[in-house]
Amino acid sequence: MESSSAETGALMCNSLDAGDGCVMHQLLQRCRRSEEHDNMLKKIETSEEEMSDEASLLNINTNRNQDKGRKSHIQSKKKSSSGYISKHDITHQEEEEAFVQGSRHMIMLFVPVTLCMIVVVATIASVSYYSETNVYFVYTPFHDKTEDTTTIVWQSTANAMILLCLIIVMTLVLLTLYTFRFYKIINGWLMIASVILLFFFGFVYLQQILRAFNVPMDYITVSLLLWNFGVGGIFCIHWKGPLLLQQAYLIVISAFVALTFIKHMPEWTTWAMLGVLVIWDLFAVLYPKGPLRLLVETAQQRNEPTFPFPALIYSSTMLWQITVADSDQTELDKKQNLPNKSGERESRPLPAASGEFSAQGTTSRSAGAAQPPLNRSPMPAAGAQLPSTSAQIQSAGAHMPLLATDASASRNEEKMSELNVMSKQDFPRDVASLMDSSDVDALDSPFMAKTSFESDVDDLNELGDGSPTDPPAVTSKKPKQQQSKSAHLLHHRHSRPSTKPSHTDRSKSVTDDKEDRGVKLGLGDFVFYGVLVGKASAKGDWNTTIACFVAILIGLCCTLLLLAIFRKALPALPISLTFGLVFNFATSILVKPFMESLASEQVYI
Amino acid sequence: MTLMEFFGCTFIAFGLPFALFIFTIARDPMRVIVLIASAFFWLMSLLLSSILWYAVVPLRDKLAFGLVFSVIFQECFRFLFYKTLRRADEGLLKVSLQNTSQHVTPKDFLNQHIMAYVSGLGFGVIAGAFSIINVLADMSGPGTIGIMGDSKYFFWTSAFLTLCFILLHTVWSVVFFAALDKKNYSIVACVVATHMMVSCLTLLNQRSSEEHSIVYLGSIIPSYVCLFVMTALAFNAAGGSFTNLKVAFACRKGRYEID
Repeated sequence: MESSSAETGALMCNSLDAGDGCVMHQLLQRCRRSEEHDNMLKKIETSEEEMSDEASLLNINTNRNQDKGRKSHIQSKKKSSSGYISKHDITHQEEEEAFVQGSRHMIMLFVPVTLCMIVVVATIASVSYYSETNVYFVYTPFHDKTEDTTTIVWQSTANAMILLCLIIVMTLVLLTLYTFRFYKIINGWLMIASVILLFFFGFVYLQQILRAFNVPMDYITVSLLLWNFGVGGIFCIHWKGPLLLQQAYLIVISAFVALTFIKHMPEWTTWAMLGVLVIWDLFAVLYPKGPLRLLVETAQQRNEPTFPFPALIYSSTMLWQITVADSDQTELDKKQNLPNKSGERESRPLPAASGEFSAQGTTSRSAGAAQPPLNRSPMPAAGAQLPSTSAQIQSAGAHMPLLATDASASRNEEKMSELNVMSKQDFPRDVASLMDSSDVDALDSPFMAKTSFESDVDDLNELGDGSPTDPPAVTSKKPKQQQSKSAHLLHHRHSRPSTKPSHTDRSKSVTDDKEDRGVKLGLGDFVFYGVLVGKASAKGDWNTTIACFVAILIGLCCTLLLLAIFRKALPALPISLTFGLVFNFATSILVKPFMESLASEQVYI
Repeated sequence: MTLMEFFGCTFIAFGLPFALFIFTIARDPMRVIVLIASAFFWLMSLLLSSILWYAVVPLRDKLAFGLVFSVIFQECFRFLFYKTLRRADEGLLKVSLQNTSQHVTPKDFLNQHIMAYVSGLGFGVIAGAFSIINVLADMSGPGTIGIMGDSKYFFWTSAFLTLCFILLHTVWSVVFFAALDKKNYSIVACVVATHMMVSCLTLLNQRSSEEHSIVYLGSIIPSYVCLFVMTALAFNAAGGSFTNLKVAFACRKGRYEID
């Protein structure tokens, strides 16, 4: 059985890469390609265009296959497992599934959002430094201490407008840089921003914490701590590191920025700015010519995977845009405790980081083995979705839309181009990536992307069932498994004898790839959630804080639900911030006196 | 000392609910979402009752007025949440039956009491948090209780009453949902009535003072009696019986699992 399956796989590979022939050839080709990286980018673009027609066809295919697969897999009572299924039926089912899947994604965002808020609130509660404003941002020139309502209104509106202009300018700068492919500049910008955040803000934070708890500490220790903290952060965010650590750093950075906003902005300006941001976020993400939307679209047109700049987006699963291959591997190591993996990883050259490759961890990994490490500048391209820059975060308020994997059409294009690349490479891994891309397609909704925590063979099966690109290969789960197995066998033979990826390995990386397209949340969203909750808690009423917290989470829930329905990049701020603002003011004005009198009289409702 | 009191009262009030959350809810994303959603519903009911309390200026210092309407609003929102949940269930049940590999297990929807329990806990936790968290913040010091002639059991009572209300909300929801499922409206009325009764009993606490700490027993004892009665009702509504109970105490694997 095994051998036959392997043969099938090999055959498939061959048929896929019919044009190219032997692996050596492809290796050579790949090397060449790495030198002519730019050329390749162009090639891909053109191929994408060529494929766009086919893509739409494929899309239909996908849906049908997916449906078929699912039905046969679960043997549901519904009939007509073959044949055409009405579009309505498909979307209905997809929505339901998306909803179920969505719950897990919600939690994966709830946890970091909650942690970020807890850090901010705990700091506000224990360190008075952050709740008293005496130095103001340059951007908020109007900060008279007055009780006069008119003055407060016009001053806070003016401040908010200045901040908004700053945000717009920064977004446009990023958009321009991105449009003209100044990836290095963007990367440098983000790098500098994170260095400043980690070192300077980290220092201020540490200083204030020590001061608040009256702990003496010498400068040598402090500098050692800071150095380790900062360099570790830079590594984790911009290069590679454990996933948890990276997520933790992103949360901490968001909390720092939120605290800075809370400290340096006049009270009413903060509220006005949050209100203005709601509108701006709606506009920038949803309006056809909105800058953030343009960013997202540009990225899709370029076929760059939906990865953002790592420093700007929190992703529930993988964050190493640059080193997806490694992260893949790390995950595997973690999950399967394969000891030989880590050694292998070390020995592996830096993964080549073209956007196309990163779309499939496996491919990039194998590519990395063959290619000299590439300059990773193309990577950030992935960040197209990032609506904002860290500079913005730092200074004014970056907010990014909640990202979803996008419309199937663009996905298809993406996939097609991937296919293209791969078939040229003629690498055994291609089969896997093929499956991957098809999976991705099958999983149009963001929620459909599975999380790594749950990836298992079942996922693979489902995915395989949906594969449109190679219908004969993937109509049922069996063939899929065989295929993947054979793929890894081939791969094993040719490129990396030391690895012994198991069948599950294969499936895992496939699912991981798919997961990369899971739900992402801009750090800006974290920042402004933190600002809202922190500002609410700065008044010293815990009820308001809790109300804001629950309201924001519910808002996030609603946004994610909408994400499942619309399946395109959505702004995460509007619903949450609106709920948060409403509940903040309602609680502090109406509920607080009521609850206070109840609590002081010990009356329970 | 204040810190000890703070932690003691925190653990009294939230220790048990926290354990419930960790062991029965935290691992299931769907339950966490339902928990938060129900908390949000409670928040809405509180907001409504606050608006009413705030709007009716002449009665603003009569807590009984706000309390009665608050209880009514809470029960209304419990009913609304029931409606929402049942509507969502239909779709979810279908999906979860189809997708056995999904994380959401069908049992959550097949066994209606699980979601009832989760939403009840959500109601309870948010209600408890709102009623005690500012007291807890004051508790951590600086200062001391009882100097101005108040009872020294003030915090202690608050913590125990909060715990009682969190648990009561939980069992109320289970009973309430089960009764609505069976269209047994007398039980529904019973839930509303007990809620009203226990809440009104806590009005007695206003009379406590340094010499009259005993007053607290007048609200605590009936509340806990009510809690036990309602727990028994909920246990029964969820399909429990005396035999089940005996079986549960036998040593076997997985006996603490809920399903």
